[in-house]
Amino acid sequence: MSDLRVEDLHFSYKSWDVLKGISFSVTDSRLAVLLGASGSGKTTILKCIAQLLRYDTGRIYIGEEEITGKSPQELNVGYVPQGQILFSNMSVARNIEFGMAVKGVPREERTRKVKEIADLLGVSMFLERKPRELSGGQKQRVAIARALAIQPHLLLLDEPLASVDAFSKEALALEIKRVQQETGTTTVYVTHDQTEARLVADQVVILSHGKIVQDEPLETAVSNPSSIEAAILMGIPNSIPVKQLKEEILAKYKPKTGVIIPFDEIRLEPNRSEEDSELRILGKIVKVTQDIYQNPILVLQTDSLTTKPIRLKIRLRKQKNFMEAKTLEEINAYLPHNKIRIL
Amino acid sequence: MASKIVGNKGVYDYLRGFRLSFLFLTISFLFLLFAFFIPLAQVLLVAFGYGFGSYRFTFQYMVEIIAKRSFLEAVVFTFEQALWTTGLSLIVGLPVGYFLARYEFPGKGVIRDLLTLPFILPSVVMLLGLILAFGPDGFVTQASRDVFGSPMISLYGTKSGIILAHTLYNISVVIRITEIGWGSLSQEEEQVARTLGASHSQFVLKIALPNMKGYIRTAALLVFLYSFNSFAIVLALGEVRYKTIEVLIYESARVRFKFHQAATLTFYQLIINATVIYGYLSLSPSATPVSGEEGYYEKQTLRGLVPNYKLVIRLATWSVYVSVVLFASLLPIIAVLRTSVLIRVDQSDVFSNYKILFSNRYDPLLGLSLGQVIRNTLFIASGVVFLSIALALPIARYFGFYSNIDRETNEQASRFVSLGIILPMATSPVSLSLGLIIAYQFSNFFENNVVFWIITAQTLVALPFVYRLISSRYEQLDPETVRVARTLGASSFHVFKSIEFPFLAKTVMVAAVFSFAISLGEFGATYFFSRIEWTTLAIAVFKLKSARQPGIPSAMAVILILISFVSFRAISIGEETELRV
Amino acid sequence: MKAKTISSLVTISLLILASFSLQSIHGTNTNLRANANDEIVIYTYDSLLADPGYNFTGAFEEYMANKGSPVSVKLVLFEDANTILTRLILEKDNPQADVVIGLDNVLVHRAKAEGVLEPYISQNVQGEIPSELITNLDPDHYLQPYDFGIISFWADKNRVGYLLDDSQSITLDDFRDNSTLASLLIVENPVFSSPGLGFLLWTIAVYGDEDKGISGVLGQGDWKEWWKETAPYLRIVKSWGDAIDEFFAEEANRPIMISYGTSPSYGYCQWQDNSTWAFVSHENNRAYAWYQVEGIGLVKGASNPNMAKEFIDWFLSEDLQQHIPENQWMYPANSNVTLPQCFLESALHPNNVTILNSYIGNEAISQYLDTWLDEWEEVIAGVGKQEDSILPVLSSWEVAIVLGLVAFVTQDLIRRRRE
Repeated sequence: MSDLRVEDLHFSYKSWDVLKGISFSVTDSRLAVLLGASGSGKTTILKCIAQLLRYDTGRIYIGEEEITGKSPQELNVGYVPQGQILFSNMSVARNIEFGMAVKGVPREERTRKVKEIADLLGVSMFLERKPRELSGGQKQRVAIARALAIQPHLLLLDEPLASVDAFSKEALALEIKRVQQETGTTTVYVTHDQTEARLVADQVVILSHGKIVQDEPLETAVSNPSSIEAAILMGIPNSIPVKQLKEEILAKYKPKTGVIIPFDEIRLEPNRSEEDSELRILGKIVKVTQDIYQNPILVLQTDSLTTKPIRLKIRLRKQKNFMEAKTLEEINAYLPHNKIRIL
Repeated sequence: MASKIVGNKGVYDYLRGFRLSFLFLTISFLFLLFAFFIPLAQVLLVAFGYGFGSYRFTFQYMVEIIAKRSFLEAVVFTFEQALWTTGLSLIVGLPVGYFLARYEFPGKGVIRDLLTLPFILPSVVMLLGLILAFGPDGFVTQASRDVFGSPMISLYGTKSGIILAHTLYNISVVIRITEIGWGSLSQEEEQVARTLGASHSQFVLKIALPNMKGYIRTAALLVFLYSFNSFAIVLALGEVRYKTIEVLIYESARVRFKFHQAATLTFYQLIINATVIYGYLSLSPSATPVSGEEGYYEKQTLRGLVPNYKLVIRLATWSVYVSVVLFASLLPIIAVLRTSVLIRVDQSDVFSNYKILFSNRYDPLLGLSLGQVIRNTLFIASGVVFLSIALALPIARYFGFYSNIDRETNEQASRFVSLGIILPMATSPVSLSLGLIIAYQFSNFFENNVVFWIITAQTLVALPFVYRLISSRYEQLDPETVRVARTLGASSFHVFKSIEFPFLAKTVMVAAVFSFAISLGEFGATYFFSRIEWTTLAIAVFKLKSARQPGIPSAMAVILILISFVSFRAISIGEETELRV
Repeated sequence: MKAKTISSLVTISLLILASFSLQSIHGTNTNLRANANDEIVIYTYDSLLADPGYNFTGAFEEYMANKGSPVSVKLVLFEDANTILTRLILEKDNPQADVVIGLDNVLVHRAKAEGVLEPYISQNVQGEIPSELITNLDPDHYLQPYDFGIISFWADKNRVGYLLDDSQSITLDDFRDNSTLASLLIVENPVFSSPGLGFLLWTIAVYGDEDKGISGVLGQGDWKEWWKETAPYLRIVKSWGDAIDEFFAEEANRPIMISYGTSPSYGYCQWQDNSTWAFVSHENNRAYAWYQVEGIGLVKGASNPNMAKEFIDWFLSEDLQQHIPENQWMYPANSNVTLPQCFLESALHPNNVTILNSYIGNEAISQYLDTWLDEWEEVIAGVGKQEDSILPVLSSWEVAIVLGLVAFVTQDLIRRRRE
């Protein structure tokens, strides 16, 4: 609905600089994922946006309005904190209508709206239950319903799938995406899990140590990471930061932050000599596994590239010679120089 | 031949299997049986007409007493003042609990300790303090007379006096429990509520208070139980008009020598107490959600807040309110301290009152020398420490710990046992003593060894607390360590000496200090038996409370305050054991 | 702290405690009981010979020292006579005292019934103690009289002058009919105090008790009515000492108390202060009062009976008795004592009033005393309370709070059950 703009946000706690100048914006009712490791400051940004924390400097706009210094009550922001926080003394229905109730919305309208939102999130059958009778996923739906019931300018979700069981994760993620699109609510979604990010994001903002390292649409973020750190956070396999690489590799490719060995470009060819245009990787196959689409993945342990052995993933789709390879066998893998991505 | 071998083996096994620990366990059970269960049964028998010359069962006494105005008045008054006290303590205490849970400021620990102080004081100390502050010659009364021309409150023979006394005592209970309650509220829930547009008061009313119900209920029940069974304060202040059931039991048995009536009263009191305690146990707070907070913004600190007029007004209101509550709860203590140094026997020596305490000066009002009072107190207290630990330890050890090692499940039995050892809690000190007197008063041993019965009664009062301390510590001991030690060939005694005792030592010390403090402050049971020659500090304070020379009882009270405080500190340093009564 | 340090700390502190206890068992005699022939233990109330005060224990010790058999007296003081008797009964099987001073002609019945006393007749004062006192107290000599007087109202002229003066004839009915008068009066609790008990019997003797066949002076048979109607206004305190504290506390505004016919002499003899006077009830234009004789007795099973008897003899002799009027403020039992002039001028002598005791009789007292105390307690428990200053205002609040709490708990319980 409304655009969000964050400008040069600084926040420190005791002597620790949690946020060191965060700027980003989310427009056109999109869903932005704030992706980062724990302690990178994601939750802090959400709380600053909701005005639950007082930041040192910086400006935050919702639409054209600057909200710094306002109280959370005035903002009309839907905030869903981590850990499925429901008001444990109230039924699901009363949880959902809470925001309307405190604003004095008439009962009939509240009831109608609760039903509408509950239908949207698929919790209509639980309306009279108490939070402790719900599963993790159900609680999270209710928490989101409660946040949406006030028709917020902005929806803030903090690790919404964190304590949802593995089976329901993906479904709920897609559901959140659907609801977000249906309601057209500009959303900031915090997570540390790139799989989730890929499922829901329109835009990915990658955060590291209180700074934004990349801010791109999802496609760009995956295909064109700005740094090795972003690549690792986006879950791009075989991303190796510079500090792990051997001197000779550094000398050869001169990477700034690291290299990515694209996992579907590696060829396993046990009985072949090295060509100039290729990088030869010598290693052992230690494991055979699958990716989420059930393609077989080989795990190759090697010390050709790094000072300490690392494990590289190799997608097997095109590996004609795979049948010849056996696990725990020394094997040569080859990769054209120009396929290596230098960051 | 074969059977003979089996037989021999049985005897041998028996001898080898005979452990010292079972002997101790047996002693503990025998003590509970003879000191508690048999006397309790006797009281019930007497209540139903059996005993004291009549040997048939009758409901006569049970019915008769219900028709008595004095009984009905006492029951009504007992409930009335207990409910008043509960309501007032909650109203005054809840905001202070909130303040302590939400604000962080230098010196907070000290303020919290001071606010808690009344809760741990013996009731006679509180009583003396109240008399010295609010009594006809009290300094509050004097001041109020100077300012308003009339005393603030009349302490003796009025409901308001008793309710004031109980409330000042119990505010600290409410503060302590609700501080935990306020602190356990989820910060996230508050934040969500705020983003949903709720004001602070809407949050408090709609979310915080409903979620704190468990804590409020616990606090309310504790305060209710305390004032329902109040003895010393009502005995001294209630005069002829206001009596709790506890006081009525005492007077029936010890002034009017009506044992049937006393037993019947005990029966009714026990039923009410058991109902309330059952309510407490079955309604005690369920697990409260813990917030998944990242670590900051938990308590509001004063540092870094931008001062504006709203903030200043809020802080000023809080500090005035908390100071008033603090001052009111400390008034009795201040009064006692002040009197103990200001009104003294020897004008030239500030500490003369204290010196006299340890001298052999004879006091005809006590019928003893003051030094003897101190010696009596220490003797009885050390007896109670020994007995309560010696009795609680084997039971806690066996049922809290070994039953899980030796057998797979003995849960039923151990629950039954914990109930049996905690049951004396539901029985008021006066009722415990009544039981002992009814059961044993005709034996020679009784008359010649009154101190033994005082120690026994006090031990029954202390035992549940000591048991809970020790058994909850045992629950933290990993049974594997003992199993490993056993496979290495350690004997039961050796296991106890080298594994359990070092693990328990700190708790045992805490329990010792705690039972020492209970014994020192215990009034009801001791007064019930009270023999002049076995006067303790608490009894002496009570007897001397309205004497012309209040300096001496004040000095005694100060000693009791110091010991209570030290024991309280020992417990809170000791470990995170819950201090529920 | 290391586990070892702690366990040694525990051991050490337990050892210290243990040594303390052993020390207090062996180091001192914890028994109050006299264990030698040169010591006696006396139980009495705290106001005996107390104002301005005569050190009778010291005097006795001196007397015995001069006689060549030194003794030390251990005095144990109680709030009031009834408390002493309670104590004696509690200690019946293991008596601690040798001598008891202060049980009166009412309590003696209970003391005899409980068997806590030993009869004794002091030979050296034969003839000096009027036989009338002996018959009134106890013809069986379980107690011997040491002082006597009548229970009476005692009032402060300066503070009740607007309502009463010493020329008026006050009846018990006046207190019943005039709540202003009743709200000036302090009465002692008859369960704990002997003048209080005397006054209860006074009301019974005046109004009578129909159920027990006592018609009383007025022949109405309804003593409880008087208490029922006055109780809301009376101040009932535990002991005579408490009463006198309140009597003199101006702001309590209770300038009349139940005391003795001799009480006015206290101020008159010491400071020529005649602002207080004693009065009794004038039923049908005759003055009536309850007669009290206080006695001293030998405790049954006393550990030092010989010295106890020695003390009783001395206590009844002129030596001690001459100090009774102006320290105890009662008439001495020993008729050889000459009363001071001031005493004669201010005190109300039993001979000037009609004695009420015979309207009840010793038989009835020993039979019904306990019942009367029960009935009195029932009456007092049932009456409305006028003294509470704050709560009546709040009583509607009180009901609301109680109802609220009850509703809360019930609702909560029901809800929990359902869940």
